Amino acid sequence: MSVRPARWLFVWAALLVSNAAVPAQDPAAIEAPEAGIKAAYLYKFAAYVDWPGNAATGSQAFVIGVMDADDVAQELERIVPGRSVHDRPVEVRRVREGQSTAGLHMLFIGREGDVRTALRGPEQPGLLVVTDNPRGLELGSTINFVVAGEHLGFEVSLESAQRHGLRISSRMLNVARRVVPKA
Amino acid sequence: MDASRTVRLLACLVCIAVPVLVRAQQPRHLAGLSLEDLSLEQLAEIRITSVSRREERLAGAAASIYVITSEDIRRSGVTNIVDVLRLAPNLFVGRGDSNQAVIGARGQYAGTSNKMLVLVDGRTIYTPLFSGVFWDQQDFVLEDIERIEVISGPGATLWGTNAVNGVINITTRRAARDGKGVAVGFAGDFERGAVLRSAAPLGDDGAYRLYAKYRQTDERRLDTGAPAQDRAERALAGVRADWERGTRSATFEAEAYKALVDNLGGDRDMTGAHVLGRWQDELAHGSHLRVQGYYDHTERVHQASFAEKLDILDLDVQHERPGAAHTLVSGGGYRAARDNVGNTAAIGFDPALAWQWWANAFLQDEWSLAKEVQLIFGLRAERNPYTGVEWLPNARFTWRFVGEHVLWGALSRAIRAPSRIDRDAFTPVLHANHSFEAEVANVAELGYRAQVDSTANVSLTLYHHRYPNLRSVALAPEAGTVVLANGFEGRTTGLEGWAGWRPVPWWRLAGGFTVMNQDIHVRAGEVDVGGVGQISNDPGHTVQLRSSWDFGRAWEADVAVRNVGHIPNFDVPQYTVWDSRIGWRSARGLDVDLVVQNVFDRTYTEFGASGGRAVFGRTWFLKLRWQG
Repeated sequence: MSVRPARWLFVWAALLVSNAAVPAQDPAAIEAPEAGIKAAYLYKFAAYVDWPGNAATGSQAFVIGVMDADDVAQELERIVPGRSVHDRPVEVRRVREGQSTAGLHMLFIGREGDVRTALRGPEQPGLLVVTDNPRGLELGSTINFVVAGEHLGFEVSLESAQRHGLRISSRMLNVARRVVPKA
Repeated sequence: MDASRTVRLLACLVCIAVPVLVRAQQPRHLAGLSLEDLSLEQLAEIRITSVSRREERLAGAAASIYVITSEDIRRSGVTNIVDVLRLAPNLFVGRGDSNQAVIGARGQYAGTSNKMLVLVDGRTIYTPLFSGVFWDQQDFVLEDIERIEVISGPGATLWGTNAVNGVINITTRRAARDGKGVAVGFAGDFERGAVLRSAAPLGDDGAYRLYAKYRQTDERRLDTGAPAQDRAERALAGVRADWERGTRSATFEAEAYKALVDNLGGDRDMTGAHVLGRWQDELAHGSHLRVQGYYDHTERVHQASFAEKLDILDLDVQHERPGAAHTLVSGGGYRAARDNVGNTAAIGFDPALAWQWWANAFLQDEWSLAKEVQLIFGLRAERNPYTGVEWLPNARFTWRFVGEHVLWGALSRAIRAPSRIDRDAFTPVLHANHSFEAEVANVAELGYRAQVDSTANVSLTLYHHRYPNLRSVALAPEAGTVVLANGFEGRTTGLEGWAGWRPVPWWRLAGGFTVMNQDIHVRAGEVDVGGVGQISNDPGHTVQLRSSWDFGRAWEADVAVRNVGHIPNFDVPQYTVWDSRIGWRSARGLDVDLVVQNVFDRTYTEFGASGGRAVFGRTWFLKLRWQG
């Protein structure tokens, strides 16, 4: 018996050789779970944001609050020991809806979270709000995660950053998939 | 096997492989680097391994779902889909020989396991001939499988008739724009083969890959010592292209295959091809629309039995509208088939040429009652050519009672619609029964699932299936002849569970089990002459445990053990088998695997009547894989 694959593999071979001329790109073809990528982003974001006045200086910890995303909180808790942000140790705090966000520098509201309720009330200067919601920026957050195909990207609202007194570095804006300009 | 042809083929493969190998330069592992050490730009390039949002929600729904990941497949080292499906603890896999396999969940595997729905990228691969899957014609480029969702239990509302005891949903990777190729070659004392894949960008928003696979297996022996006549040779080639712009995405797939399989009753030749197109878009208010169509052609020739030419055209639409409290999933589909079975003296079909069509519509409401509680109600109406419209309802709940601990429950009704073998087939002694009904299952399930912490997860499901009208063999009016009937009733109660634990980053343990109790008997007033063994002939338990260990910078060791209980009617003894793999991964993209299956050479059989089932002994192969 014989499949005679050689004959029809030949067509395939011709196609392959023709496309071999295309140079290989290398976006590191690494795979990671979504929660891990989000946690890494959150930790990284801090380095690209300037907090107003002394909000993020001094010897106190840099506090990242996580609401409705236990998996991300867990990953963050694993990452931060021994690492620093703006020369300060990092602390991860799990926040429940309704709890005070005072003392936080960053607040991440997970996919299951209710962004509108969480951000009710007056804006808290110096709080970087990160969401994971299709309408996150419209609901008032400064950074919002977006899934694009197999990749996790983010979008930034300069308008929201301005309202919270935060400055976002242009390097971060270059990577953002969408930037909402200042009012 | 024609040796010169094999040599020529290998030479051809080597020629093709060269351009692929030339690109094998970039390292593709994290190699000690952590995610948090990457830049924002690099993070944006990382592929998400977990399933996408919508699918994650489906997977998080109230059902007994086990997901086989691409990493699980790689670590198993196996070369074919039947061995891959063994990784799911909620599946039973029984091979009659190297080609014939029965794969199912929650019992009734005997013969054809006709209560599982199997999909590949949304394409149904069960045959309307007997509503099971011809696993001997299914082959895959395993390197391009993204994940396999294995659902034990009914999934009829979302997936349709035949999703009675389970659903196997195979998803292949999107075509990547990175231009990476893969070349795999494996050879050992029982099998040999090769896989090639190349990929490239397509325009600004798209990418495509081309792939091919060839695999050849030798002959085994039967439990009686006679040759099993199960030598086989398979080849496939295909293309997949994906485009994505903003919220819109489109997919095109095409594949052709040929398989030549020796068989005890006569050789089998199979050829086939399919093309598939899918388009999805986000509409207003975050709602999501998916339209898919495919055409599938199969030709099977069973020497001395039958020859079939089957053409299927399938169209499918699904819409999902998420809301604060209610997410509505709705959809519909239409399928037409032309099935032409050449009648022989052994078996005939009346009519030999059948044009058939199916249609369905469904609506499911996922109601978030509170943040922790979700209720799901769904109903599907599906038309089949034999029993008309069947209703498939289900009601489910999930309760996230603390942290990542979820309790779920479900009540569903599923059916297996009659297939051609039930209604149209006849032999000298079997007369066609044109009034065979759809087999019904009424199912209750209760499950617990937890992500205990970042290192451990667990799932446990208790189920009870009631079957009021299973297939039996009744006496026909004419002396000496029989017909298929719905003369059995019964119930299956069981428990299935699994857990994964990664105590340290370099060691992972995964294990699972099923236990099952069946009570199937002839309904009052019915007469059966086929015996209950044609329905209830399943192992009472299965257990498996896998250990994956990384050592040094580049070495991996995997050990798996499984135990499958005694199969009563065939009298297949209980067996325990150990498989192993040693892997070496170079930083330059070359992987080397040494796989030994059945390490201790315990000769055993898996499924089928004595005199027809093959004996499996120790086999080994070396696999080289180059990616770059």
